Amino acid sequence: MKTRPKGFTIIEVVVTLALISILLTLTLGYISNIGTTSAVFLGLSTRDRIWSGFRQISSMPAALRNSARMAFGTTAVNPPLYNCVYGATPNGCATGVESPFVLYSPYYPMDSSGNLQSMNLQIVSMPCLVSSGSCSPAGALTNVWFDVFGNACQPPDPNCIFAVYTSFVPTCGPATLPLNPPANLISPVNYLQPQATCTTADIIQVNFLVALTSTLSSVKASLASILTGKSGTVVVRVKDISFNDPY
Amino acid sequence: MRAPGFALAEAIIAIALIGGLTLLVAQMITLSNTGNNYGVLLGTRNQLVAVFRQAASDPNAIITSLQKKDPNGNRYNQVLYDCVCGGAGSNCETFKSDTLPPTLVMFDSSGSPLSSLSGQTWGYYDAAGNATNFIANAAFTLTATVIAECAPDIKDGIFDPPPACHGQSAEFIGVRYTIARYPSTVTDLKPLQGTLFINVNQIGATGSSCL
Repeated sequence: MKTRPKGFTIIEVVVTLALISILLTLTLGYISNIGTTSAVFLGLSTRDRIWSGFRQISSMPAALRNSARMAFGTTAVNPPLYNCVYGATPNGCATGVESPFVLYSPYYPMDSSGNLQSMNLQIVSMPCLVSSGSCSPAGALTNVWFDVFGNACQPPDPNCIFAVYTSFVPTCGPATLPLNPPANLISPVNYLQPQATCTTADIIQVNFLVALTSTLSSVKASLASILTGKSGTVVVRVKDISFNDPY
Repeated sequence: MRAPGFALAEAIIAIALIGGLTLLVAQMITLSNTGNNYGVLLGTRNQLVAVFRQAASDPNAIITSLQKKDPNGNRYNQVLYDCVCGGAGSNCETFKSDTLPPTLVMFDSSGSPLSSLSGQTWGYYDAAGNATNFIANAAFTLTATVIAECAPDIKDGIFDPPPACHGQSAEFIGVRYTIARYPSTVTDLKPLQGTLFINVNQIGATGSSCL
């Protein structure tokens, strides 16, 4: 009578190993996808919350007033903004010229004696030409990063994946009408279009960008391809910031 | 001649393999459930943030919040009232950074409380984000505070915010909110804090709003 050989055949072993490998691959892929999907939803939600917060804060005259006035010694932190808002330099503000600036919190810290503490004024964004689309983290300003939950954080925390950048574009007011304006304006457009330069701007447009930092792509490249930056724009009247009329 | 069936060693290996696979599947299910629960809680928290931020940016909700009074006729949010409405007898002060900001009881535009107040079962939410008065069911609690900054006096030429603006409205108010897991002993999600600043002139409170 023929006896059954002991042990597994090579084919049985190979098939079993292949099945186990497939199962493990599927399991690991599933677990990995759960993490990526959760991170994308969380990241998108946080990015949009930061975006709406900056849309609000960028449109506040008090925030732009603090940003224009902030100085170290006698050097303004944001000279172009200071010029265009406060009219510091005759004809020093040019319509349509974008300048990066550091946005500060609208809240100006004050102690119980009523003393303002300008050194405690909080920076909320980094300067960058937002329209250039090539903003990258500035090493010195490490306190304006946000983690995946939207809390402020500092590198090298790998959860610090968001940074916000700001720039502004001033628009000068139109030329003033003559003291005795003609009954029929021959070229009314001259009195509608902004002047090329002015001392105090009429309005400023604030551009902001909630950007994903390079940290993200180094931590999770697949996430970086789905979760992208988001920019926005608000327009603020200069008179609301500095109480100055355009001229 | 070998008897039909498995040898002892084969049976042990087979049982070990099945056991290992069962453990792996159980671990996967556990991970999946944990991930799902975590995802649900994150989703709920995001939803609560969105609802609160929407209300705190809504002039009608702010006006409702400053109008609301307790059964004794005292305003829930006197600081908000003074700093938004201004007017005779109002006492709005610029927030001093070395003091504690007052609690804000935020109401939505229909008058439902959104944030908590000591002694009330307000500001508690279950895991699905529904407001609950039955605190044993609560998974989140939402608290808020309010600060204000008076407008610079255009005449002084300095543009510093003054320490107080009695009789006048503030330039803006700031609402700081915290959404934390409840009870506080639960540590799966850290408290989430955020701040909203609102220009008082965008609230548009008028005489009839400031009753």
